[in-house]
Amino acid sequence: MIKLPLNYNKILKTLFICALSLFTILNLIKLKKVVSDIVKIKQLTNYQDIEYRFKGLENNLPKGTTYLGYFSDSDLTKSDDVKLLSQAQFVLAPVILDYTNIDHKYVLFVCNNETNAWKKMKETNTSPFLRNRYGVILGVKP
Amino acid sequence: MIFFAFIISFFTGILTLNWLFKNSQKMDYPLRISLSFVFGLGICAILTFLSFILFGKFNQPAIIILTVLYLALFLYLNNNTYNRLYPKFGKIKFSSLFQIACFLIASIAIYYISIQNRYGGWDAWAIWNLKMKMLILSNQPFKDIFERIHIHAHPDYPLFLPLLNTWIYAFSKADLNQIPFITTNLLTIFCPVLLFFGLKQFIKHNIAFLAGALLILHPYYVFRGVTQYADLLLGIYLLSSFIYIFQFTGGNESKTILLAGLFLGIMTFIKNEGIVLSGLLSLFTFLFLLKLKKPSASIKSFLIGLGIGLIPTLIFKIFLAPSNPDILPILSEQGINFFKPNEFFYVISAFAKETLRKEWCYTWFVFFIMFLFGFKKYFQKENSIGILLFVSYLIMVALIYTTSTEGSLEWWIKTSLARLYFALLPSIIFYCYYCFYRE
Repeated sequence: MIKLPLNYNKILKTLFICALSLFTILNLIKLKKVVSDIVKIKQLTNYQDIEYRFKGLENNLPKGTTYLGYFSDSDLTKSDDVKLLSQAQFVLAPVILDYTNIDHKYVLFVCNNETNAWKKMKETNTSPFLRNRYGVILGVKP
Repeated sequence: MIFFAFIISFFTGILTLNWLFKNSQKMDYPLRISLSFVFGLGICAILTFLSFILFGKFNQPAIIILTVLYLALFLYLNNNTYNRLYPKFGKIKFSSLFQIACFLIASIAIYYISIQNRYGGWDAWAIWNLKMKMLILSNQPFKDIFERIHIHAHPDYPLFLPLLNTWIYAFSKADLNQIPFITTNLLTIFCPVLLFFGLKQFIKHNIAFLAGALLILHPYYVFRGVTQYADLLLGIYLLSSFIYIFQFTGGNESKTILLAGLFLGIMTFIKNEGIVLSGLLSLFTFLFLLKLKKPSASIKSFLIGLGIGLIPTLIFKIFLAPSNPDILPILSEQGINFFKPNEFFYVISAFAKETLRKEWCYTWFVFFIMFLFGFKKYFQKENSIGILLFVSYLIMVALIYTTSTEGSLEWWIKTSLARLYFALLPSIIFYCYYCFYRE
């Protein structure tokens, strides 16, 4: 039977303190690298902005508008396309974006191919009210 | 002004805890004020929730009046115990100055990382901050949140974080994007501080500092912390509950276990995962209390605290929120996906793979080795509560993953498992250090 040294626990605790200290130092080095990477990124681009595509559209809706129809030519079951819907919803809150029903008076057309937006507007008798430089169209029904 | 709001929140917490404990609390002063801060956040969120129930929409005067009344009540109740609120400074050691300097440098790094991502992660603007905006700007916030917004915004999720940010808005009228940004920065910096003071209560000062440093310098912790999700808040409340439970086991003071129950109850109002965590930790704590020589007083205190803490969640879940399709799908309109063993084993292997992802910097591996070398300690007396909780929680999560009908299992694990681990991280560090280094 192996006889453990009397101060076995103390040795073990000290070993783990050394190991955890080493990990902490390694984490510090990695964190420093993250900060350095961000410094480089900031030279190329500004901070994250999720509002740019939809900002200002809410100012063109009448006060008290509860629902805004949302039409997209992309597949809203895919995460990237749902992300855009979520961004639009965040910016335009408290107006509710309804992607299941575009019979509302105001409808937002967010399409990869703008031709699809215009086709849909024609189908649903929606007139374009506002178009921003990102191709987002706010349409209104008579 | 946002910091002014946090100071008020802090005072709601410290006045309540000071009155509750009067002269009996045996905690170090820094830990007391840290836990007061956590508790204050809960009080403010609940007061805001109360104002919404009473008035149906955002009412700034109502929120301010409710908070002022609360503060006035506890200022009156603390009439003879104000002296306990003042800090007692001893001799300031060089090591303490070094630790404060390390903490400040880490805080600056955290802030610098967060400003690059000031809107937070996807769930921040798709769920938590969206609901904050609805609460503040909508004329019918509950109807909008629970019935009208799209399913991807998870209308069934509890509202602690959006209500807290709404409370801050009521006191600061700051920009709506700035509030969650500051909140998340503060909490990301605060959590390792709470961990340090919590551990210092039980183990050597320098080892406790090592634990706090490990967390605050962990790149993935910082990345996850500044995403503005509710997982960090859940992690903080779970850690606070652990601190109170282990503090109780050292002194058997009934007010300590009452607070443990209270924190566990409030935790259910943060996320649905909080309900599972709270249920399991409450069960194991209750079983531990049964083993005490005179359990009835402690059990009574614990259940009273838990009951009071659960009130907002019960109101929310019973009267307001729609059912959740992920947990207990038989209660929702969707059918249950019967348990499949091969999916269960897939999930368990996913748990193991997650621990080895390089983003975690092998933290989980280190703690697993600590567990192996100190195996017996993790099952001694109150220590067993932790191991039982973490193992049973992971089993529960695996069962939920395999019985839900929501989307692809692979996608769901990919998008949620890291966050589950993140919420557990502060408590696991606390637990491992507590069991391994406590004399």
